[in-house]
Parts: sequence; structure tokens; C-alpha cells
Amino acid sequence: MTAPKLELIGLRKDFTGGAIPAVDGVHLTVAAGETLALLGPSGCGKSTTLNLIVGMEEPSSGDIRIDGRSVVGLAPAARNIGLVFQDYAVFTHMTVAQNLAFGLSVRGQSKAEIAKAVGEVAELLGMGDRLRARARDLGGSELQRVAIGRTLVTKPAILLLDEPLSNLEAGARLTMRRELRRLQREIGLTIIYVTHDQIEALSLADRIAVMSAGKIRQIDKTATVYDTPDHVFVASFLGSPPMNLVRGRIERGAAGPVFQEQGLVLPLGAVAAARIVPPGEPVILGIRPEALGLLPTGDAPLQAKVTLVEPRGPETVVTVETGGVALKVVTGGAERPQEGQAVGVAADPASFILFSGESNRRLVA
Amino acid sequence: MMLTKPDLSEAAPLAGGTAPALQVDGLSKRFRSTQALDGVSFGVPEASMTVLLGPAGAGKTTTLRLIAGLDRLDAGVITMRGRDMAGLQPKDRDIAMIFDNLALYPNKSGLENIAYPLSLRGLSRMEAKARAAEMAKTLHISHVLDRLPKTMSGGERQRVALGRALVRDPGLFLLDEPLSSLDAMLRIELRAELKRLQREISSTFLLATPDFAEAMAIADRVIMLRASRVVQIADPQTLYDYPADRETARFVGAPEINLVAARFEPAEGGRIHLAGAAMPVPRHLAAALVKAAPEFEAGIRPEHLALAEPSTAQISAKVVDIEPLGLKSTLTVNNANAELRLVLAAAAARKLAPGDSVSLTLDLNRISAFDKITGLRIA
Repeated sequence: MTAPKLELIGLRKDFTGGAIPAVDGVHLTVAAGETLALLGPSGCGKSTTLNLIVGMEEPSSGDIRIDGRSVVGLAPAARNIGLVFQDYAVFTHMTVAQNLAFGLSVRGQSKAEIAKAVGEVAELLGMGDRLRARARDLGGSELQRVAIGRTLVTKPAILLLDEPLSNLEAGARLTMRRELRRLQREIGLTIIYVTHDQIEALSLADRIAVMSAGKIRQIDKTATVYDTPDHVFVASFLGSPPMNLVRGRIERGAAGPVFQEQGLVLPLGAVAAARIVPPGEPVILGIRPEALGLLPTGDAPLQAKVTLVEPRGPETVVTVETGGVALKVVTGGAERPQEGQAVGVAADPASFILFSGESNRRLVA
Repeated sequence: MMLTKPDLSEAAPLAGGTAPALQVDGLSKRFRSTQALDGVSFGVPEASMTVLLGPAGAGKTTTLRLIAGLDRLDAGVITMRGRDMAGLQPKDRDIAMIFDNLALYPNKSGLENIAYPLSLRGLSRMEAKARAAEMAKTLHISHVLDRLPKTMSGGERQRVALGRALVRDPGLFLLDEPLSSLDAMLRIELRAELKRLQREISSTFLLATPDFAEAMAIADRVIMLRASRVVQIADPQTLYDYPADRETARFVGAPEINLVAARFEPAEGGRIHLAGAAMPVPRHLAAALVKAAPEFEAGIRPEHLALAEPSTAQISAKVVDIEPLGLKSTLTVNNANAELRLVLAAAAARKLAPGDSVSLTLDLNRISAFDKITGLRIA
């Protein structure tokens, strides 16, 4: 069996003066041709992880292997990793062709070789007719394409993208995401994609590693991370809006276990994990806003008051208060209640997820 | 209590009628060769969250700076509750402006940062601190009052900056992209909080942002600004459903609206040809299309297209791209006549691959029509 493209083994980075390690025992493997997203808020350790892989920082302990060989101690240039970050770092006084050729010229390749490589990459990026344009005349998404192209000509073993779309406007971001998906299909590169934006992770990655406080909280296939978060932090970081996370406890009801928090009582008979939790135990209940619906007050299991209405176009996010607990509900765009209005709420318990109130980990029956 | 507003705000209905909190008329400003604002007029209702929405360079910041009195206007009138602001210094305008850089005093604690404007006004130390602490409670940041800014999270710093502005209790808040330097998740959380807060203290907010989702989520009224002019003033859902022109339609909504070349043929009761299909003319377009040029551009929101059985479908196409987005996915399809995006459940999208043939239906009653040349809404 061939070695994975990239392995991080017990990777740790302490900074002097830091209260906790910036990277705290990170363990992951990336297969050749795979795209892995490192997703997390600023300060979670994702950029430090990336700096360690590139070689701009050295780990305090642990190992980094590319194609089975440790690269710890190797100079960044010797690691054969391409890096693209949000500030395009394109030379604006040069043409597109000169920018694309830059990495090869400094490596002393022949003119003919360079011209061939530049032509191929420009074609791949759909910029074949823009080679003579000045970089300063390009728009944001074109600049970012040049930045990616400049890295691709050097044929890196791994491409690291650090928030590459952050500086683009919404429309250009959409176009670039599509472009990146096409590149993935056509050249099968191994990509590590660092982002705080779940949309980019969901739409580009085969797998997602969600990080907080220097640790990986979950690493799995994109759909799995989204559908069954293993950790409260993961649940709070995916979905728009993310899952409702309500702290409370499990009690025994007449017809099986119930979740209770202030005046909110929800039957959990359909939630297998609820049966293994002893009564009185603190838990966190995760409910997707899409798994809640608004009803007329009369026939609803829960009575609530609307506290906030946020239209989104095709749908509306309604915040309601029921039994002293705030819940977000996603409804269709047409059915929009008024703030202050009394409404009924129905929940689909089949989609509930229970987390331990102590470890913050998902409870599994 | 300091958070209570004068009777005026309680009495004034949102839609106006009495003098609005702020009214600007014919605002123009030129910086050297650049026309930054060109005859901008709008009103900000009392106790409303009004949002200036537009792409970078539209004139949002210039508008706010003119209202605050930080720049001199070339032409136009700014009135606050009926009072002309001409010649008034920024400090005399009863306005607080909050920028996105969240500049806090680095060597002052959270409490001292919030209390500072009150001390400047000559309130006693005790009173200033008591008020600051009360404000901190409203903003859920009581736990950072003893801490220095560098030990606070981005969200906490933002709330301290907000608290410092709010504690002055001005007649109008100007916020210039107050959330743009924050992470995506925090931004979504704080915008809901900003709206809650604005409701709670019923102050008047004018907030500038390039983010349509933010505008939709918090605004009572949106002023759409583009290329130095006001393009449309509407509540968020109206802006989304009835954009005044093609560019506004594109700017508001993700995934972007489909804009498709279409042709109206009046014969036999009328047909619309678009995306390689012929369809009956929906009632809301009929009158306008008879008067307009036969060629127009149809605006179709991605959620108004759906996959269908070939027998009932109107449009045939091939899958070009699938973008998974959690519970839903965006599908891009094309045929010889058009490229279309639609939104569907992630489970349905997983069964498809680029190159697959699909059939679509279109909710004709929801399409917009734009003039092919001017881009203006026909119907």
C-alpha cells in the first residue's frame, strides 16, 4: 500500500507565553487527490497547522510526512508544497505570463520549458487569452487565479490554500468555488483548504477537519460532519443558522425519557441515546432549525412567542421563545409571523442529537 | 432611565408620517475627478434599523461621513428630526458613528472604555461607571468589564465598542460595516444581537454593509446604493422579490438569480420563449410585455426551478456543476440556450453527476422581467 500524501502525527506547537498550545496533538492523513478542509474560527490553530506543514514554523513535537518521508527540518522550498493565501501576492507591475513564469525562472528552467508550462497552466485556468494583460488591470478573481496558477506551474505535491477567497466579492467567490471544483476534477491535486467559512468547506472538501483550541474536534466525510456532529463545537459551527444547542437534563417521563430545561419539556422517546443517560444528567440537545416548524397556536405541542424575524429571501429565520428557551426555526419565505406574535412549534425528534453536558461529545446509544 | 427615548420615537410609526429621524435630500459629493455621490435622497424612520446596502465604491461610507459632518457636502440638505444640519460640527449633531476597526483604548479596561464618553461629558466617576456597567449587562459583556481589550474575543471587543457608542444615547447611530472584520459565524450571531439591541432600546440605526444577507436579516428598510445613486428603497423581502433592476437582482440573493434571454410572442394569446422552451405568459407579465420590446431578460430565482419528470418538464438541460452546501445543494445546468442554477435537497443532488440529463419545471408566476438594454424592471 502506498503511503498517504500527507500525514500529521501528534503534531504540537507551543508558543512562548501562550496559555494553551496553538496546535495540540493534531493527527490526520490526507490521501493523494483528496481535498481536506481545515475549518475553524480565527485563533483555532488552523493557520499555525498550515505554517507547520509549509515549514514556516517548526513543531514543538510530532511529525509531518509527505509521501511517507518526514519533512520536519526541511526548508520550505525543499518540501514541494504550493501555498496560496488571501492576499494574492501577485506582482502587479508584471503581466500574467511573467507572474506565472516567476516560480520557474527563479529555479533556472529554460525559456522553452517555461513557456510550455505557463501555456498549459493558463489554458487550465481559462486565462489563455489573458497572458499579456498587466496584473494591475485584473479583477480580484482573476488575480487569485493567477496566484493559484503561479503555484501550479511548479507542480507541487500538495496545494495549500489559506482563506483564498476571503478578499473576493460574493459573486466572484461563487465563480472561484466552481472553478476550484473543476480544477480538482481535472488535475486531481491533493489540496488542504484552510477556511473559517463553512460554505467553502462544504462545497469544496471531500473531508472536513473542524478545529477549535488547537484540537481537531471531528474529521470525517463532509456530509457526516454536517449531519452527525461529534462535538458541540462542530454543531455550533456548521449550518446556517447552526443547530439550536440547549443545555438541560434528561428526566424520566411517563412515556419514556424527556429533555427538560426551564419550562421546555420535549419527549425523547425517538432518540436512542436518551435511554442510556441517567435521569438528572446534564446534556445539550441539538435541534436543527430546519427540523422545527411553526403552526397555529391551537394544535401545536409547544407554545411560543416570536422574538426575532430575519428574512433571507427564499426562507425566513424565526427566533421564538418557549418555556424560557430561545430556538431558531427556518420557515418558508411566504409564512412570516410578526415579532411578538404567539405561535405553535412542532419538532421532529428523529433529528435530535444529544451531547454530553460534561464532555461536549455526542452521546451514542 | 437613560435608555428611554423621548416620546417622539414611541409615537412615530415606522413608515413615517411625522418627521423622520433623518432625512437627506439631493446629497452630492465629488472627490477630485470622482463623483462619490450624485443626488442621493432617502429618509430614516424613527427607531428603525435602516441599512445602506451596496457594493464597494457605491458611496456608502461617503454618505455616512457627510451625515456625521466629517466631510463637507457639495449639494444637498441633511435634516435630523426636522432640524437642518448645515454648518453644525460633528460633535453638535447628536450622532454616534461606529467603524469596523473597533478602535478601543488598549490600556483601559472594558468598563473604562465604555464609561469614557460619559466622563468626557463631566459625569461623576461613580455615575459613569454605574451606567457603563448597566450597558454592559444589556450587551451580555459584564464578564469583560475588568479586562483589557487584548484579552477579549473579537465579538467581545465589538460589543465594548458598541457599548461605548450606545452609552452616549445619541439620536442616531451610524454604523459603517461594523461586523465585516469578524469571522462568518460570529457575524451571523452578532447581527441578530445588534437587531435585538436596536429593538430593545428603540434607537435609530443607519448601518452600511456590502453583505446582502446581513441587510436582509436585520433591516426594516433597505436603501440600495449603486454607482453613487439610490437604486431602490424597500423592505428586505420586497427588495428580494421585486428588485428594481437587473443589477440589484444579481446583488441580492445567493445563489445568484438566473438571468436568461427571453422573447415574447404575442400571437395566439402570447408565449414566452426562454431556455429553449415555450411557455404561456404569466398574468403578472402580460400587460407589461405587450408594451415592451419583444426581447427581454427573465430573472428566475434558483428556488423557483425544480427537477421534474421529463413528461411534465418545460426545460431539458445537462448538469454542469454540483455545489454541496449542507442540507441543500446548488445545481448548475445548461443547454444550448441558457445556463441555470437551482437549489435542491442535498440527498437529491447526490444522485446526480456532471454530464447527466435533467428536466426542469419553472414557477412562471415568480419570474421577473427586465429590459434587455437598460436593465430596469419591466414587471
